[in-house]
Amino acid sequence: MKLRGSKQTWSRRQFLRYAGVTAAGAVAAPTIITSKALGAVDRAAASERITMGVIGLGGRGRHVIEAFMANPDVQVIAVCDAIGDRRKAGKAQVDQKYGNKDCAEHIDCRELLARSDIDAVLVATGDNAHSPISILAARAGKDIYCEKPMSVALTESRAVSDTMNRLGIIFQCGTQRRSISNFRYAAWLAQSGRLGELKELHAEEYGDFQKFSYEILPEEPTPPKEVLDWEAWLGPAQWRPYNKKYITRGFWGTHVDFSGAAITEWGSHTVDLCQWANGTDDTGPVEFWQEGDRYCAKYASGVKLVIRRGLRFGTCPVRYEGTEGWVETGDSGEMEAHPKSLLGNRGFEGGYPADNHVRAFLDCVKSRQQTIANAEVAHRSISVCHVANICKRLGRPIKWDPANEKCVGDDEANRMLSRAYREPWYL
Amino acid sequence: MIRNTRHLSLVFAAMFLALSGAAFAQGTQTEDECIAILKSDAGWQPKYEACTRLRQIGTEKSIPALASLLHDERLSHMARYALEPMPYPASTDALRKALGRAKGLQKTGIITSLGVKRDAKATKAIAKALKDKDADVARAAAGALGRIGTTPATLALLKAHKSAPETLQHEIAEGLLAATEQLVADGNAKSALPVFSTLLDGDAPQFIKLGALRGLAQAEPANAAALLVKQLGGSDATMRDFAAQVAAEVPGPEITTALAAALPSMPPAGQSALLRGLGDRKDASARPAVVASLASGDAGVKQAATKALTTLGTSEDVGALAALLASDDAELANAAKLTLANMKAGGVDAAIVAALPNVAAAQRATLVDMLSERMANEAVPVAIASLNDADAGVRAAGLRTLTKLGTAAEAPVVIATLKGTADANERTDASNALNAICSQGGDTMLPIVLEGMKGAAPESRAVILRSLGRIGSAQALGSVVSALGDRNAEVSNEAVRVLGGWPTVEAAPHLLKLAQGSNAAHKDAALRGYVRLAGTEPDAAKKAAMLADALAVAKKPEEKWLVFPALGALGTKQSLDTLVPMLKDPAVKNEAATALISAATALAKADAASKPAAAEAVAAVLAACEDTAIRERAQKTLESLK
Repeated sequence: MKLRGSKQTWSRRQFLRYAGVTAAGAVAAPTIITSKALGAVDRAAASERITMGVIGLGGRGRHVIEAFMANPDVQVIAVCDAIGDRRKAGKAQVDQKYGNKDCAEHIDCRELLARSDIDAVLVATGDNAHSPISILAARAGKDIYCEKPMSVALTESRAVSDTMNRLGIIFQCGTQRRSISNFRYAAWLAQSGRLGELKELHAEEYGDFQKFSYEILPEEPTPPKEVLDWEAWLGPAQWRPYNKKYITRGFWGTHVDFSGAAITEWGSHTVDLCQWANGTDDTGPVEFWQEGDRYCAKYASGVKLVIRRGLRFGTCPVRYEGTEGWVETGDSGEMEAHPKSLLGNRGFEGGYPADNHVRAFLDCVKSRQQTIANAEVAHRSISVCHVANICKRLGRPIKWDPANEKCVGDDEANRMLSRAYREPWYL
Repeated sequence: MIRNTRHLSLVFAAMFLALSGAAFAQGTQTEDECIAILKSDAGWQPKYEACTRLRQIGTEKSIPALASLLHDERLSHMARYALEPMPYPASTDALRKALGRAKGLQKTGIITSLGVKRDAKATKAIAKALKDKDADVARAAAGALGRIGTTPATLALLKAHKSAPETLQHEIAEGLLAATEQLVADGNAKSALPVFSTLLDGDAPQFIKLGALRGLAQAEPANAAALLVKQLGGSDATMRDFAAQVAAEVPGPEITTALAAALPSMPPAGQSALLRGLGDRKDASARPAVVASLASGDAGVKQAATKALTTLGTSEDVGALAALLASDDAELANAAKLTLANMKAGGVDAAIVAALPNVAAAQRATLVDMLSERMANEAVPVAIASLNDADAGVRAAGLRTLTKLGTAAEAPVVIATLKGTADANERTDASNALNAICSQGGDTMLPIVLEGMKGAAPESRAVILRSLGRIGSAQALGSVVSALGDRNAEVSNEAVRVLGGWPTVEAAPHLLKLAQGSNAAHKDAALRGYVRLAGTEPDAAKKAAMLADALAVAKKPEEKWLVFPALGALGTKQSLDTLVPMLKDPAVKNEAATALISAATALAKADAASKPAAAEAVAAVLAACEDTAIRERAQKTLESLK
């Protein structure tokens, strides 16, 4: 299938067989949501497949590729990573799936994006490059499934959202818990008023990655470009000499130049789920402060958000509390609610597969509908995490104006909302 | 240049702090200290860290020092990193001034920062850069002019749009869209409209045209409906679908009115797309047009109208949707089901209840399911009533609801259904419901279940007995143990099965006793259950003792085989001691050997000091077994233990 931007025609013969997902923000009852049930299961004709490139082939990228390739109307034709071993492993994974040697390798993502035979891309690099590569991809006319967190600085994801709105690009952030039944059900309980008036939202932050790193490591010999393209790996971040430790997840995941550490690592999911449950996908809180080891925020409605540790039920748990009841769930699939009747005897499988989220994205690529985790939604969620991080780094409360996306009366905090891109990257 | 000793001390103090840790990150450096470093001969790292700090605290005082780095190959970016977020006009002036003699990467960066700062004064210089031979410079210029978004910036982009090379066209088009967006935001939509039209009607790539369509509709709401109707009625499917998306986004009740009015005159594909857009728009005034579309002769239109009622439908539409459940068109029937499950309007639950008597049995069953899916207050009473329905499918739907939502209050009626039916499927459905209720209710369910068992036929009693396993308490266990002595074999056999699946280790002694008994059927099930429960015992020593007991009870080879894998997984010295004697039995020695190798490997991994004992056990395998594959594995393991 050929999308916009080339002279080829985009064939849509069978596409209405795939019903679009519910509109952004809507919560359907969880047991009958799967779009797969409405879609064809046969392999689509080559002309009707969405051709894809994958940028970033670490553990997450290689996991989500499988979710894409499981769809009969997808063909992955190229992979890209600054790290040679990952690139080769990605190519081998794709070739094995299709039983050929056709998957192309690229070191430079701009080469991949310049290809007119690619319709959509999966961006699964380190956090540092999510926003700039998404913008490059949009300018190349590609639809985008971008892993979370969407940005390292607030103004980056604002630019992504604006760019997606400006161009006719479909964007889905990889916050796949919006497409997983237990989280959908918990959000539905909150949105449908079954918890009464919402009072508190609890979002778990990652237990590790608590301390920010600012470290500049000593120089080591830079590997050959084929092994590691250091400039490409650094992306728009500040230049520094190569040291292999930078490449390790545990290091860059806490470093302020490359990530938002504990709060964005899980908050990109859990705060996002709270935003969704609260019906505030298009805005954010108005003030942030610290309470012990927790970071709290308050919405204009008075609803309190608590970014914390210690919730139950596996990774990325959330808890919603209202005047009439509460619900708590996480990746184990377990869910507890008060009153118990809110759950009945329902059971949920648990886990955090990307399958439904990927399928929903593909359906939107075909219908041109907004995705459930579109750029504005994902930007607003990660914005909450960024401002909470600024509160944490500066050690003082922040008044936040979500309409203008500025800290009120705090110039130092405002300077932390953006980061100047290293040339030649630009927003 | 370090001009005096005060400066010198500042530099050394700051450099010491910088190199000794995250001094800058912790916010200890003063602006003067940072400036001193920037002016010194320090290397890139202290200057890098000074820029990082000045980004947060720098005032106008630091701008000259930062500006002096803007042409530095390594530090230009860091200077921009500090200057770009500063609120002072002087920071913008510095960047603009530096643009003049900047080249290559530094030029790209400076242009980008001027764009971020929306520096209209730089428009001319940036416009000139659109023709730069360096493609990155030209791209950055297109992006910056888009951000600046004034009329001159837009004109510069328009001019370039006509003559720029193909490789730059996307960026210029995107810059144009950004600039026009800014013009609209600044109240100058009049200037923006021709630009949007140029892009929409020209030969730009489709994603640009889509963006222009959205921009045009947003910029000129008065004409948005007409614009969208035109695209929705066209033959370009992508444009049509995107127009439907934009139709959902553009605000204003008059847009809804105009779009709804245009609906009947559109071709079917356009109607389907627009119905989707109206649904996403969520403006109730579109409902009459959507309801009218349910009568369309086109299957796609009917389906789209049905889906749009998810957001626009009211309780008055439930009857029509219920009727569609009977459609021969499976996709339409499924769409009606989804809509009924997800409609948010008030009164829908009551309307579904009211519709129940008016539909055929198959649809009645679906409506019962939908009430359950909606967690309606009416779901449980309707489910109980449906248990008396003449249709088995409706009764099954009622039991499905009680499986999901039933509580102790509904248990007696579920048990009554279970006891009263002759239909095996219905008994299974009722059993599922009872089990689910017992899982939630725990011990409070015990008297209800025991009461229910009274007077029940043996086959029902056996089924009800299963629910005691879901309660899983000590009292429930006692009741199951009592049932072991039931005169009816079906009941006593079921009691053994329930014990075999018991959720806690408290059932183990009873199972061991059964395994030691003479009833062959009970013995096998009991031994399996006992070994399974041993696997759940967290204490390794207790687990090993349980498995040793199991092995002592197991007489036949196939009974012993049941125990070996658990001993292998256990991987303790005790498990080795239990397994080694088994190597002497020719009927089980290969299976014992396999488990021994696993146990030895696990033991050595957990405790290096146990390696000799593990090696000794593996050596015993080599001494006892002739099987080639086992010997190879043992040999490898032995080598790894050295």
